[in-house]
Amino acid sequence: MFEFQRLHWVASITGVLEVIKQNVFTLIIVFIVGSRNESPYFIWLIGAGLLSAFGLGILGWFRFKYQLLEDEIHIHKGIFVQKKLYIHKNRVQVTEISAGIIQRIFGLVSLTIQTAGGGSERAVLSALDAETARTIVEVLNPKNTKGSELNSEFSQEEQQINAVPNEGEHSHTNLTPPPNHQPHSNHNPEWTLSNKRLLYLALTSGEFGIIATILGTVLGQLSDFITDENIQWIVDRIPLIQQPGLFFVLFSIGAVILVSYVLSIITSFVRYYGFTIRKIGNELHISRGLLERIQTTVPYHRIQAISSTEGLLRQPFGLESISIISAGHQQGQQQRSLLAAPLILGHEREVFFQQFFGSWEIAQGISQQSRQELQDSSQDFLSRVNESIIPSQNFLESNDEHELQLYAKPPKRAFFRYLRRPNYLWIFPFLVGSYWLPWLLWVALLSIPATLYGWIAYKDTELGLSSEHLYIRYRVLARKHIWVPKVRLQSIGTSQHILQKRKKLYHVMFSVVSGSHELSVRVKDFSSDTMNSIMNWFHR
Amino acid sequence: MLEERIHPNAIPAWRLQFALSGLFLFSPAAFLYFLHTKEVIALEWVIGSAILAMVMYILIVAFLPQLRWSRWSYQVNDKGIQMRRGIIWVQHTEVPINRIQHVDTRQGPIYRSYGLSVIRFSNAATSHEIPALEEDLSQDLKNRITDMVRLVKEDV
Repeated sequence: MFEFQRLHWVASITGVLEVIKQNVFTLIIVFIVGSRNESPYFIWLIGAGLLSAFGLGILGWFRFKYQLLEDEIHIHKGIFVQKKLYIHKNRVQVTEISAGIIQRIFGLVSLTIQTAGGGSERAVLSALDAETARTIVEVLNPKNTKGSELNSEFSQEEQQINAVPNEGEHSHTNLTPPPNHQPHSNHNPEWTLSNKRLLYLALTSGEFGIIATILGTVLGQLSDFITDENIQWIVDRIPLIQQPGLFFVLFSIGAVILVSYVLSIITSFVRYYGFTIRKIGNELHISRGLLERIQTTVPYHRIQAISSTEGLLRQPFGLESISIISAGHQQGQQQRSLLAAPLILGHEREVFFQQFFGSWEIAQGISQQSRQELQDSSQDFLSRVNESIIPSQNFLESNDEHELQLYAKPPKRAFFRYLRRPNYLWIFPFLVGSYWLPWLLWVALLSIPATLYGWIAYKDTELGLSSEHLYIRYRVLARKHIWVPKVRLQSIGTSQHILQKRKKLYHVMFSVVSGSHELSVRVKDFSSDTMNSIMNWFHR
Repeated sequence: MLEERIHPNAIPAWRLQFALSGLFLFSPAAFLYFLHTKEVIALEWVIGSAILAMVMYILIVAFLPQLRWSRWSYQVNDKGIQMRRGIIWVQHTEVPINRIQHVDTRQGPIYRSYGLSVIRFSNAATSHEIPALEEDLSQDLKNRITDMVRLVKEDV
């Protein structure tokens, strides 16, 4: 255990593949260029590239050594420059055990250790046997006293303890022990994504836009392929298209969208198949994936915030996805948040939070009823314009409604600002452009959806404070909710535009750590009284 | 306005900075002149853009440093650091002491000649700066904040 060790030799294979994967764009470019001029150098070039990938992969495996100590792990790696990576368990944010296709062939796993901070190197042990990986995870997760409870990560038994929607809307959850001291319950709560949900998830994932863009670009590159003969060939076979030209363009756009939609369904399927989240002791264990089984471990005290997104396609069905924001991050990985529940019905969220985040306040968001009451009671206070007095009416009794202390919405005088804000997006290009292109006048019709969006955004923006947590609902195309513990707020800020000053309105910004960056949430056009109350809350 | 102001020497220092960095405003004019020598466009365009650049340059160098200075204020106490700045967008930021990860000060050649330095506080997410404090003051502040941070036991 305390010796320097190499990884399993399979790591050299994954190393080779990794090198090839990193240079895949170079390879494609070389292929495109090479296929045009038929010189023999091209083949030599490809051969040399593959050979060096091989060499680098094997050398990389040879030079990679790790040593597990009592509470830290030392990694030596690097082919030409030796890098030494020492990770202490107190600095580990998230650990991830995954098994890709190659690892699965040999019955191995790959372990990724994520730490916080911008320049941190990612530590990936790409081929370990499952036993060792689990030992390392146990060592590196300090609060995990009951290591033996880590039941087999890759057991496929899918217990369907699905979150049963609670009938009572207001089940008062005053059972809120302070964080990190949760009583260890005998059963470990578990939530599984059912296959039906997975299908909905795949159908409504917004990823096809991204894939469509990529496909479109790739198709654009294949200009050699799109010749008159080929077009004619397609046109001959599809009776609907009699006119090449416009119809062909429409047809190919439709085809790109369809193909990318199917691709996005497949990727979501592969990514979230068998999604299970378990609470074990002081950790959350999330496992998912069809081809590559990924098991992520997040200690509770590493969770920076929780967010929930109701996508445009999902909101009409009352569906949303809940994710965890942590400071752990992987270099070069786009997706920074970690999904805790890829698809969940809005009313199940309450139960889900009770099971997994019992100590989080305002977990249910703000119910319609209390919203009404609070708004009525705070109406008179909002109309007062005395800035210096910090309002007391707005602070409710501490027992009331999941310990909600302050509820705020943008005031009525901000309504028109919300309505016209989305319109700025099109109006300036429009004013400039319509001088030359008169038909652009039709673009003015955009004001209808834009104003509607502004109206919805106004209705959706709200903020709630409890003694320890901050809750914000806002809209950036999709409706989002975010819960942040007060101790995780990195900074707080307000900003005021010269035009807002007349109406005494402020934007309020909250920033949290997310990966190596900050996640800054901004609520727009709040009254100065609310702003003062928020500042007051922050100082307490 | 918060209690503390940044050092008044910031005004000449910024003026010098803007005077140097503002020179790039003339680059469109230079490019247009180049096009003019190739006989692509008329001389009027060159003159017009040069005049426009000149006016902007004068405005920036003459008024912006003073305006920016008068709108900058900050305050440091045992709870946190507050900063207030901005001419059109007035921003007010507050960083609690116990979130600060490290503090550093920095000084460029212009700032050094005016005896100023920049102090920057980084928390886990981002960093915030107070520009143009007197050298000694920024060192003091740095020590004070580091001392305060040392007392905090919380972890990210």
